[in-house]
Amino acid sequence: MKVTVQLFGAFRPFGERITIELSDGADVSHVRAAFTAALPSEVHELIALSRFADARTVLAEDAPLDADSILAILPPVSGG
Amino acid sequence: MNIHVEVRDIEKQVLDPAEALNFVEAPGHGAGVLFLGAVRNRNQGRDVQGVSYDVFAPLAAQSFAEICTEAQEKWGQDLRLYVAHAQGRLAVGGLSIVIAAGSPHRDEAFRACRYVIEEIKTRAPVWKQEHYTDGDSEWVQGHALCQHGDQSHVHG
Repeated sequence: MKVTVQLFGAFRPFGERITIELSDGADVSHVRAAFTAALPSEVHELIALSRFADARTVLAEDAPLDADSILAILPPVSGG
Repeated sequence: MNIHVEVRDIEKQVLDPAEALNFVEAPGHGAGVLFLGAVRNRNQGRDVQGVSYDVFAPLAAQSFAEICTEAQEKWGQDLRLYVAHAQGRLAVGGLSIVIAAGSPHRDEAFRACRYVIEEIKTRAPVWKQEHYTDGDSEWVQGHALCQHGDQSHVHG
């Protein structure tokens, strides 16, 4: 299945979004592993500090995913 | 509805403090408190020219609404709350966030307004990129999110 990850904040230099191909039954931890492999090592620490979310909530690492899910990676926040 | 939350593209319309205060007014309210966040000209020893705000808008609006609901649970359902956060690039002095709270008495309004801004700073999916006078730009380090949106104190 394909999962799209929208990029925000310090991930913006890598584009608007990244599409990842995963096995059926994958959860958020699989997205994290594939996303980490797809980006250079200088942002791996930032990925470890970041959370994945959908449009409604921040997701647990073991949250299951639907086919064609659209997620967002949220680096540490700095609004206000 | 006594809560208004919004992520606003400030290239189309700037944030408006008067609009915020008008929203929180009510006949039974004797207090209105306004918080304005603005871009500073200096941060951590560097001269700042402007700031770009990146926002995951659907989740940010939801987090603002959750935080406002929490404030009403703490300080009363008659509390009226307005939150608007900028999306886009602002020059020094530009308004990044406008929060207003209206309530029958001042204590609830002050507390609720303070609660909303502090929670937004650590829970809402918003990111600040500072642009410096020397031409450099940097994403500001922030607060790492927990699953339920609470800060984890890991970073920043």
